[in-house]
Amino acid sequence: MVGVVCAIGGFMGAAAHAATEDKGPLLALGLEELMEVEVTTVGRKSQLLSEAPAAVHVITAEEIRRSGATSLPEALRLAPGMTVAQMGSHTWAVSTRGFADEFGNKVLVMIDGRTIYNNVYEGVYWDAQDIALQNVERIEVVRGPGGTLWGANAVNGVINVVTRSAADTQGTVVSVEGGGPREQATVRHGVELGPGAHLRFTAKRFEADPLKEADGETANDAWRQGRAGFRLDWAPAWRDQVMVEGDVYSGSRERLTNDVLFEPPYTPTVRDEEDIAGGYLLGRWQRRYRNGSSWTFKSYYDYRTRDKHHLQQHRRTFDLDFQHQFQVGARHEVMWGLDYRAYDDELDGKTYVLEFDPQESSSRVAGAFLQDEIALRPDLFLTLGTKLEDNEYTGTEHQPNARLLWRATETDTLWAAVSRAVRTPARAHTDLRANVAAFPADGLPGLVAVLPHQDPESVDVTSAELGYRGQPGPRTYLDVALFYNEYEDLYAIRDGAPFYEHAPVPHLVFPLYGTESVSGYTRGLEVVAQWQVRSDWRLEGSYSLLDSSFNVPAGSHDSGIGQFVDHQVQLHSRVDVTDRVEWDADIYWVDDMGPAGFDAYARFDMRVGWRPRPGVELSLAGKNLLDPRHPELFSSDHGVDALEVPRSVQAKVTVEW
Amino acid sequence: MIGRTLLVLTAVLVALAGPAAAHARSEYEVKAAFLFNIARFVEWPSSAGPEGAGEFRLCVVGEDPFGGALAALERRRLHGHRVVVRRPQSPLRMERCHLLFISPSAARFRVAAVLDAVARQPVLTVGDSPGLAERGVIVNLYLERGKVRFEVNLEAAKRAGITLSSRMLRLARIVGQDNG
Repeated sequence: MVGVVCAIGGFMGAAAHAATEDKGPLLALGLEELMEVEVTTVGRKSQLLSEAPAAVHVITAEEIRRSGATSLPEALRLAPGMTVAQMGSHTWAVSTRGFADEFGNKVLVMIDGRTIYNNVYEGVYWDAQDIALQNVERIEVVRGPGGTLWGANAVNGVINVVTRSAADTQGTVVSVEGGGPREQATVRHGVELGPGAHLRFTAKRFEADPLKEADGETANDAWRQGRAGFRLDWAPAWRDQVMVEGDVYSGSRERLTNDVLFEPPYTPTVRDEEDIAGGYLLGRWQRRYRNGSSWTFKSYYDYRTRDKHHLQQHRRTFDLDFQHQFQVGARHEVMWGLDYRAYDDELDGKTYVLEFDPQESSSRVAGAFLQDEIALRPDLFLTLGTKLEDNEYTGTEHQPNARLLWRATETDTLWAAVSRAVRTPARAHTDLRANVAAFPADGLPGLVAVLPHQDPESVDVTSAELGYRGQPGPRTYLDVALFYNEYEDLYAIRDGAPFYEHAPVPHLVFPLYGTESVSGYTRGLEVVAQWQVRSDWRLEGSYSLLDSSFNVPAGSHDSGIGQFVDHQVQLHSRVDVTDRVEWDADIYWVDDMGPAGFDAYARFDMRVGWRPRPGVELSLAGKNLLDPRHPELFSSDHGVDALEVPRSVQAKVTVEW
Repeated sequence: MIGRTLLVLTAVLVALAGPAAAHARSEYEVKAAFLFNIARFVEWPSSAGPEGAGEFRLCVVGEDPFGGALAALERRRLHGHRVVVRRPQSPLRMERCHLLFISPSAARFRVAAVLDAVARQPVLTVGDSPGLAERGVIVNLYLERGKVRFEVNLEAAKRAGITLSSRMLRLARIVGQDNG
């Protein structure tokens, strides 16, 4: 019989057999013989993302294509409950369940498991992550804490961008677009190297248009970048999958910033062009076994550099990650993992505005997690897990969760979860003195400075969630999530007593100190509904509600918290007009962001796509069609006016052969 | 001494791996082989068949449960044509599939919409969730005492204009369609 190997060899030595024996035989069998093969069932149904006990949404490649998105953060607008606000041609705030800010420090973002969360500044520099969207297979968006599996900074959500296998991107694709937010050309070529081995190369170059000032004048924030990369996928045997990928990129972005002087005009606006470059190399090896167990080993090295008027940064990250999952008896599916990450950076303040002390620093984070998914009954699953993570600021952090999933009927699922997650401090808190503004005071010039924070604490959230997913009718799908999050030690700024400083000229410092003194809660509801109206017409709508309340101690400013959108509505329509013509529309309504934010706005996007022949696609995508322009969020770059997102129409041609 | 340690270690590992490790195959690896084999016993109308397309399009709708098992099929030929695996998202692309596998996630949440998309098209629909054949999926895989079995909805096959060979039907459980 096929697959009859001795018990010991089956586990230990099968690597040797794998190439010759495992791949072929099953396929060589006839139906009658196949019906005699015994199978093992893994708890895979509960591993399916659509059945995860969490608020999960998957943005597919098809959805990205049909939205006409030109960048990763724009594609993230498609996720229900996500707040994406464009603040510059190269700057976005991406958040969920509140706390919208340029440095949205409560959502962990990864590309193929490589974190792009920057933990000097806490947040994501989206301008360095402009990967080719054609290579994205899907984006998994989890709302709610994800600390147990993913570690620190997954406080309010986790975004994992999964790129396509080289085997799925064979052939050549050339795509050119322009007229709207950016002019861009992308070339991709995939080849088969041998049985089970595929390689692809991608190169792209773009120039993004500036946004608008409030008066309609063009803003000085153009952005350009070139990027080239590869991905190699190799499946030497059934059990092994090896992936190696890498990218290099280089470009620059413009923006206005301000200087700080001790004489008039004190805080002048200056034009700044920041050079941005970097690259990474990532390797991943996955092995699975006949009994359903598997392990994954992953490692990457990432180098990023940025050079602007005030600051030059170099940052190196090295990461090692191992994960193993296996079945114990019929009821337990256990997963555990170890990870280690080392950071090494130089932050060189070029002006008086940003001063890091020390300039050079190395740090490391080490973690371990364990999770058990227990099938209490065939329809009831309990997941218990925790992560311990050691960092150099706050020591060992503990991030447990408990999740319960009940498959009530064939088409209805209910889930509930309680979890804790933390956001750990960053160098921008402990090592940075930011001299943000100067002004004339009595006798001496005055200087407002945010001083380093000597003893930072982690922000922590305790979250309770409840959800339903199901199919109320044959062509409808409904997903509802409720949450209550309690936060402690949120970052705020408090005033200190003014003091005298002698250099560079005598002046008075009006200090601000970071403090983790704000506590509070958010609670809310997210509803997603999909309706296949006809076989050629699909509708998806979502609504999210957010209510928040914080205690800010006297003398503190909650300026570090970010903005909150109480109501958001999205509606997406996908119509296949004919076999070759697509007509897509997207409406986003975003409520105002409270006293410090902007008015509510509605954004209407529409796209028409045409495939005159197989392999050729032409499209026109209009963005923000209802409105000549609107602002979406303030940039935290002080002293600079908010920029507005203009109406635009982007044309795109894609040829594939 | 070393040999003995190795033996103990091996015994522990085998115990962890469980008794099934020795001879059973993973469920979806076997199911992938079923897809391949079933397709061999099916005839498509000549205009729509693989012959017309130059390739045999095997599609998965919903989350792919096969792991990498389908990739192994891509080096194979069916009806003389190279197998290509596709993951269609829009109904129009589903119509162009020869074999459309409805994954458990799709079966739970959008089987009606998928069946609608390929209604009266020569697409061999295959699933592996309880009750799918009764709902109009042509072939449904199921497990019986740890082995894979399949059931066939002949009316659905007839509506799709697809012919199933008698050799295959001999092995299948035949189900009728619910009208409800």
